[in-house]
Amino acid sequence: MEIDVANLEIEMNRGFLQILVLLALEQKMYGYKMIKYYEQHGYTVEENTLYPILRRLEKNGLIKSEWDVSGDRPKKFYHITALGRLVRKKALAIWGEQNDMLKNIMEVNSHVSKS
Amino acid sequence: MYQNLEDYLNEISHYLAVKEGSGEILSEIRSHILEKTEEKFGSVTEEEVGKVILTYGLPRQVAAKYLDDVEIVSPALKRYLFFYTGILFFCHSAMASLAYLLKISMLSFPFLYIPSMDVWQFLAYLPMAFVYDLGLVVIVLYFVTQRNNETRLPWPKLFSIRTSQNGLKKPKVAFLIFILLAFTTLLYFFIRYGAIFFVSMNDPAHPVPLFGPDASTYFSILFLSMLACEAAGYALRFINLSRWLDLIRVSVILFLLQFVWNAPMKVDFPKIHGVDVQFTAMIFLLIFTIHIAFRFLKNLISIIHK
Repeated sequence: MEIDVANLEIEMNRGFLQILVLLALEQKMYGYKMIKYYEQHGYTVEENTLYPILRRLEKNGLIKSEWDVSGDRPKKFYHITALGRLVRKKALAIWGEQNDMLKNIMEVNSHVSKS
Repeated sequence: MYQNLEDYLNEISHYLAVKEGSGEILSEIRSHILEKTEEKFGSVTEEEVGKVILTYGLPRQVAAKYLDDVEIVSPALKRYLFFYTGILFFCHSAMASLAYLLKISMLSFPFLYIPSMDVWQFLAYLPMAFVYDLGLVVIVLYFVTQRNNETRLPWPKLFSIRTSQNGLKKPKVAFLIFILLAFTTLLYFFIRYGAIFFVSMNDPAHPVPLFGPDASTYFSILFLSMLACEAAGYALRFINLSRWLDLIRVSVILFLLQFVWNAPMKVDFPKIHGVDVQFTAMIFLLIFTIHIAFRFLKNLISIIHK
């Protein structure tokens, strides 16, 4: 049963993490800093999950990256693009609608179980 | 430069089959691991880097996360893989059988060259043919997957698998092909040698039958009839999945089995390398009869129960 829950969480996180990345990248950040940023907000994301998502979003033109080689070691900074903002707006709208729908169904269910 | 980190990245790059940007991916992982090590331990040594590497994940798993959208054959085409391979292998086997029976070699598409073979070469040829057919289908499906459009591949209606409403398993093309091949091979043996049970086939031109001529003909015809009945019944499942058809099939086999148990002639079994062939044959026959009887009862009970 535990395994099923873990799989479910992975499936649900797939879309959620993309929205989260698009939200965080309103300011320029590199991968490690993003992980710390999410931890400050109470969300843990594995590094080997985050980087492939960043790559996929960049491939789709939703974020852009550039290497900063001025420090001790090179860092790849990411930031959101105009297309990314548009997609983020739509994704948040979908997420909001789904959330409302879930609340409605749960409310109906609670009435049914009471009666 | 940290050797364990470079080894780790090398291992990842081995599995990282992306079209472009693998260097960037590795640089990013390198930068991440070094920064994490520094923050966690305050300094960066090979030993501490090793500890962080352990938490990053196994190289193959790390690489796999970048390959989500890279497919060799789309999962949606998986059923075509087995189905097409089955059809191709059936045709290939039939042509190989012809090459063997007629003692000819042939050039044909898509099987290229099928040589003239003796019985052992023919038996060795079949598994190789299967691997070749499977590979050929994979190549076709690979290109269909890479084109990434809605190419609709043909799917003959005759073989469409109906969904079962009565708890019966859906038939499998591969199994039908297997039964047909077994039947064809045994039928060939019977036509050529008058028997399907042999003591020795060391000399393919003159194999030694297990029984005398009368018993050989009698048992061979009975077992071939049972196999034909099994094949026909299984093939009918593609058209109609029905408990009644299954019941008829096992009833006929059960009916034929009673002639095996009550053979009109005395059968002398030879002793081969000290093995009691008669006892072994009786045990196999008993298990087979119980199996068929069980199938008969199972179908009967299901029909009555409905």
